Amino acid sequence: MNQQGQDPAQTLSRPQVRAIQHDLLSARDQQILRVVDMVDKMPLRGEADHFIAPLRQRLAILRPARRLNFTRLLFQPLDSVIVAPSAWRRDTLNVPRSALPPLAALVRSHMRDEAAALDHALEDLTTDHEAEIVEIGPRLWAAAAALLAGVAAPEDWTVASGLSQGDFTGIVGIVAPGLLQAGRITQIVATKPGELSNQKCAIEEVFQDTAADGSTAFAAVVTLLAARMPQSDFVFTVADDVAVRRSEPELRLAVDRAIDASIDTLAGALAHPSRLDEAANELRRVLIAIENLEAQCFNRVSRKTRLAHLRQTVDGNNRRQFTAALESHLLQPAQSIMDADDTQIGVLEATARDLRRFEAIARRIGSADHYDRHLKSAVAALKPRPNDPAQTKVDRARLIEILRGPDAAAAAMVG
Amino acid sequence: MTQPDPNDLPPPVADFLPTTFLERGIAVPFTTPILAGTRARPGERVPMELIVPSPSGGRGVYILPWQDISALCRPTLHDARLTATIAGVQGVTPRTIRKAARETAALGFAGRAAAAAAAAAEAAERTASLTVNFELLLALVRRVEPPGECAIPPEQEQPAELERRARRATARIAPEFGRTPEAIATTLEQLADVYSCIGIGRTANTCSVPQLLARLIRLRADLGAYLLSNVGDSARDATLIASALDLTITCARVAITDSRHMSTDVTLLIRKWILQPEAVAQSVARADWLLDGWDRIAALWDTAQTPSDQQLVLSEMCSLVPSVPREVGSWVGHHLNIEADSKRHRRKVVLMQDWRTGRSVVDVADLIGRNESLIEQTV
Repeated sequence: MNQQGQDPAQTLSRPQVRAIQHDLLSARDQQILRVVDMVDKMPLRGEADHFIAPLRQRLAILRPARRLNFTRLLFQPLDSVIVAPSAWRRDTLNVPRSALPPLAALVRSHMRDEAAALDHALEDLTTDHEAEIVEIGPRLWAAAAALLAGVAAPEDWTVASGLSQGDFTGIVGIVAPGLLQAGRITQIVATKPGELSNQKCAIEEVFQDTAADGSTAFAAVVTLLAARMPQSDFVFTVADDVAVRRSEPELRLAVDRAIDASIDTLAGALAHPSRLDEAANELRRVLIAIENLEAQCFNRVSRKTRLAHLRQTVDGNNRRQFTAALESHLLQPAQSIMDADDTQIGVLEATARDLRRFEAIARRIGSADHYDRHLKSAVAALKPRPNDPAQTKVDRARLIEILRGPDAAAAAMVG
Repeated sequence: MTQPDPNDLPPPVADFLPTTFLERGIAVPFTTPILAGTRARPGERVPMELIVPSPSGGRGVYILPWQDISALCRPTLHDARLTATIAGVQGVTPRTIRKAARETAALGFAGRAAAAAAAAAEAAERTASLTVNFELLLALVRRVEPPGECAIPPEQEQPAELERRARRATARIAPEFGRTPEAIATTLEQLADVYSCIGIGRTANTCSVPQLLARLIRLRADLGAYLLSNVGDSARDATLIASALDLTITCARVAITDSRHMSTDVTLLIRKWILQPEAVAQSVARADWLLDGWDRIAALWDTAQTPSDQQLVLSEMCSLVPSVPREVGSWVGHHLNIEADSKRHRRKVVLMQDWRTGRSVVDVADLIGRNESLIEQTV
């Protein structure tokens, strides 16, 4: 944004925008966060969103605190189903990002003074202000849900979103029920995992209320809740129970649809952070999601196949990342371990812990033998040498202990 | 079906409520996660026993011969070394276990930072012993010199002159005890070693026990603040820890005051030491026994940087809170409500989480790393 309030992307040619996007892809985390913050401050983002588009996967990993504004707060409950326009397909349970500005404008135009008051309340708030979101959000979500449920597409819908008039109905059919239940879903998600069983009634109530709005609304709400809870299989089971109790076959099909949509969401949002600690955290999330979805496969071969393929994809990435990191971050630097100072030893040990954490999760995705083989080689490479000083022998033994456990370390010390 | 003979049944599982501090055992700073809260004590049939909290988190403890630790788990390299060192310890006290822990940490098996901390702690204890010895000498000079013999108080004296006055003081009282002046000087060094944990005079706030006590008083204040704004499981944990802390702090203050009071008449102290050195040593060590295990609990609290960390760490702290043996009543000389301290409560655990720490069960290496950093803080 320049001083006149012009959108900078509007003044750049397409190749120039692409060049900036390319530069940003190789930018450091801090640089990316500064650019995102700058774009977030623009009153009219317009084409500047193009700068951020290729960074969304990294932003999903970095999870920076984003400035809260009307649009971001409005669609925050739908985060998990919002996709890039290019990835959106009709008849899915996703919402294309290009639909958000015109939908937000539509809601804003009906809320008038209330919207202005909300803008004021959101000043200085970010996505990290969870308590404020829980306090302010439900009023906006409920008002927007009521409005969108009965409104026609705005005149500029196609121009603003790049979508057809028919798409409006389909998208609102997902957005409106999602926003209607957003406040209750937020409360359920905020419950401690250990007290999940206490929340079964609350989940059932959400599903019972949504069931009356039809199968698409039901599928959308099941998908949204499943995406926000670690125990998605529990959500699917409760949804299926509700469908069975209501004796409505289309609701059972809706649960099926939600499970398939969840697989789509998981496959579409696979991120591969380059830092091992971040990669391990992401991998843990993916593993839990896959295992939960596998519990919902029953005898469906196609679903099993899709999940198996997903496992293979993740597994391939894991193996490449682990092998490269083991070699470049640990074994190569450890070659000069005799000269390493306390800080360098600390870095090597932290790397070994990252590798161990990553490997412990990755082997549950697949290729346990791959990790065993590489760790065995690593132990051989790190083994204390007869002419090592006493301190170096201990340093080496500790690295082996972190990677392979105390038995391997004790054996390396003896042998 | 015949009913089993009640005499053949194993005793029902009950809370571990030891009568004496020795029966409670001494906290051992193991790094293996499953050994958290493990204590060592002299055994009835074996030289040393392990007291391990039930790995399930339930009531009761496992009591094993010391050498059977590997039957319970695969200890880390550090723990295997520590186990071997402790097996050779004569006289199990918090101090001897601490010394064994420092020796082990100094080898580097808990990391370089822990090794450096162990070396620094050992040096600090030597300095404390020298300083306390100096304080005892000053007290002896003040006690022995007749009024008006020297115009300058001993604490303001030049070092060379003070040394001369100290030699003169030990020579003056030696015949009273039927000892040589050198033997009296050695006695003062031994007493200094015993008092180096709690400190006297100018070391009253700088030695390890008063430092830990101050840390626990801060922890108690932190828990009070936490309880003002929290409810639920973590608040119940905080309440339990706070009540145990209140009892421990009260008793430790009494024990420290009594031990220091014993040193106010240094010639009487020397006499007691000559007659009953064990009794004096045991009396001075009471505060150390009382606070044993609390250093790790305070260090755990210090690892919590955010409210959610605090919530997580409180349940682990709660599982480590040592019960206060009934013996403490005879130490502090008045009735204490020990029963309140022994009430533990159940809590919910989550799939894939370690019940002690609330951390993911796949983060064992991280947990060992965290435990090593606790050694760095407590050794």
